[in-house]
Amino acid sequence: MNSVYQGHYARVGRPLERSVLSLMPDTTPILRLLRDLVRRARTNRLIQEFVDSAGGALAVWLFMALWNATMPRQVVLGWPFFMLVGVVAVVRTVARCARPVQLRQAASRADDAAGLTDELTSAYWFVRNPQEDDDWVGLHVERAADTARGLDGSKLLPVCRPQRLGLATGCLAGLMAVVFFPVPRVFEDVVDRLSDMTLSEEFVDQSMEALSALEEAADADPDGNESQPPVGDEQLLMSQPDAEGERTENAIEEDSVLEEQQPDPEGAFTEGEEAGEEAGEEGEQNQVDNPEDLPAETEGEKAPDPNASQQEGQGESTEESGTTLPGGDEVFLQQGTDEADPTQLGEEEVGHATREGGEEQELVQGELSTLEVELQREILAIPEEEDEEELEEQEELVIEAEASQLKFQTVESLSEFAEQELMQTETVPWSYRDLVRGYFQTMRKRDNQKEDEGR
Amino acid sequence: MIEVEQSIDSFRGRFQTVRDEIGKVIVGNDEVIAGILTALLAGGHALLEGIPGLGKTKMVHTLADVLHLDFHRIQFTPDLMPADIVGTNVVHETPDGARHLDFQPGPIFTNIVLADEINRATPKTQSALLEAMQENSVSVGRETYALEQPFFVLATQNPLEMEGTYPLPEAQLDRFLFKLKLDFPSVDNLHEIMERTTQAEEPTVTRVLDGEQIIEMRKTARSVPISKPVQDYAIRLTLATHPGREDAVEETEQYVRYGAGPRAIQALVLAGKIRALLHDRVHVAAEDIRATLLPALRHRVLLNFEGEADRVDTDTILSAILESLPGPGE
Repeated sequence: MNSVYQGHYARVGRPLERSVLSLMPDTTPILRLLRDLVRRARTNRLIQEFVDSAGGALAVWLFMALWNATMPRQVVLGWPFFMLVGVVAVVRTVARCARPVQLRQAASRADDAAGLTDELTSAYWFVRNPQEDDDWVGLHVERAADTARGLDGSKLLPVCRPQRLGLATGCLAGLMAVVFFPVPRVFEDVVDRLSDMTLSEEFVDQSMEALSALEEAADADPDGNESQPPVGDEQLLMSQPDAEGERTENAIEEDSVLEEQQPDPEGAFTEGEEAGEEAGEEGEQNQVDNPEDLPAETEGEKAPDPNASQQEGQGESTEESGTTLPGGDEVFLQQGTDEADPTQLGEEEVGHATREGGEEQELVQGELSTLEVELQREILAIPEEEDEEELEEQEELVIEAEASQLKFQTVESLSEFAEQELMQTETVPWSYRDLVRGYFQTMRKRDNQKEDEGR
Repeated sequence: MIEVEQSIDSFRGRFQTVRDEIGKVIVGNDEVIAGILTALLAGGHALLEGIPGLGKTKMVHTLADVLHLDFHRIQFTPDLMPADIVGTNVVHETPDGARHLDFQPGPIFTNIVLADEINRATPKTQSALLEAMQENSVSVGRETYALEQPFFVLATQNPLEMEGTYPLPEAQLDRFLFKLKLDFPSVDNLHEIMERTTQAEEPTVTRVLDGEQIIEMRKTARSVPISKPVQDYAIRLTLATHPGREDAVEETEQYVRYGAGPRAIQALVLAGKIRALLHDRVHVAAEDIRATLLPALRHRVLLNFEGEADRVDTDTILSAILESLPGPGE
């Protein structure tokens, strides 16, 4: 038996206890070093995990404190919430620290730290898996033990500073600052505006009521000026905030136009149904023959067609007559009619009815104005060839009228063109370049010879 | 224990002596010389690759001169036949008129064989070396002849891009422990070569190692223990050259058709043991495995069509594997 083995019985952990007590060199220095490293690794990990968990809990706490300090709506979280956060942090720390650090990992760590080229890792494996009567293994373990004696665990694995210590400290400092120093409520204005927007829902309800009142007033308007709101409603609208008021006015105008185009069956038919029936024949006469003329008629108040304006100029009464949309929907249009016109006899009664509603509102209205409009001629065909001068003149006219519509297009830069051209250009392979060069050199010689002969 | 340490010192001393002696003639290429000696001491064979004129043949000649071993050189040519290498039965006629067949051994029956420009012979002739390299024996007719130990084949080849060459069969490539690449010498080395070779007397070497010592060194090298984690690391490195494996890297999946086989692991472990001894260690470390990965596996990784088309170097794939695969302790 080799002298090195004498008296060295190693007990190196659980697997070896139940396997064999092998004759090995003294492995105590190796195991002592590795266990020291394991303790240090656990300590470092405990500190690391504690700092991580504390940082996370502090971050949550800081967020809540900042929220309550800056936001008007405070979130009141009682002790159960903070208890939950604390329990989660503790459980996380315990769970991550409960993972065992193996001696093999410590040996590998020591090898890397001390530059031992796997000496301790290999020796530890042989310690756990003893090879009987192997002088080479014995020498290996003995050398590793000598190396382990000269190593200091505190230098191999010192207590390291946690990586997220700065974050946790920052969270703690921020929390202290929030608790002990007032934080300006930077979002107060935003919240006020948000609350105003909440109140505007009531305003919308009021606007809807005003809209319905407008409709009723328009139905009872004897002059047929439906879009003009009553004074009371107008004042109501003007009393609202500027932005909201403008938006609501626009909405009311749009709604009124829509009402003209597609009136609510219940609202429109209740008062106009009888008039519609009585003026059925008149409505059929005014039925729109060409569907393209419909928009002009629906905007009769602003830009009526010549016939309508002529009727307005001749008559003072207003009635609703049924017109049919191209889709078949029946639309009631306001048109000025002539009282002397015998064909409009039935519509006078309707005018009286509406006049009665208008008298109830006591509207103050001015005299009717007339508007003569000449419709633009439709372009039926584009001349095939036009002089450039005419085109330029037309363009200038369009530009002067500020009616030009120029769509922007993505214009690629010259460099992009060049790159694409370069990528798509087929180059001559290197192996053929000599051939190409030789060809042109030969051609040049021939050309030179021909020139010489010519001279 | 003392015997072990003595054998380690003896191993290192002999190795360094041979290296120094070869260095008297060969300038530079220290890693190649170490690789050749490692292959010799591991019981394997070495394949030297380089463009003509880099001193491949000179290196092998010098090695043969340093060792007390028989040496034969076979110049591989396209018309070389297998019988020209292993030998053949010839008819002998006795004085009394009786005739009998005698085996005429070929040049392979020696200790060191220089298969010069091995890739200039046809694959059929190249395959004549298969049995000798793996089994250390030669079969001719019904007889099998054992080769004398130590038997060491040193083959040189030009890069496959050269004209008139045949690629070596994969089976034969696998039988080379190392494939060593010779680089063009540096300017300083070229100055040294000129000073040595253009004088009146060229440097000579002395024989410093015999066959028995080599066999003893082989035995010493195989005695070095290797722990299972390190051996597992060598296995994982080899398996990482196989596409579809768990540890295969992107380059492997893209360019490799077949990875290295078990002989590659043997080469890694044996070469790692020798390297550990040379660094005065009695255990194999992952560093030893990493250091021998390229010469041991670069000729055992077969590229697919895409790899051949892209002219991918197997060293690139092996380097990627080295970078991606964690060590035994990680």
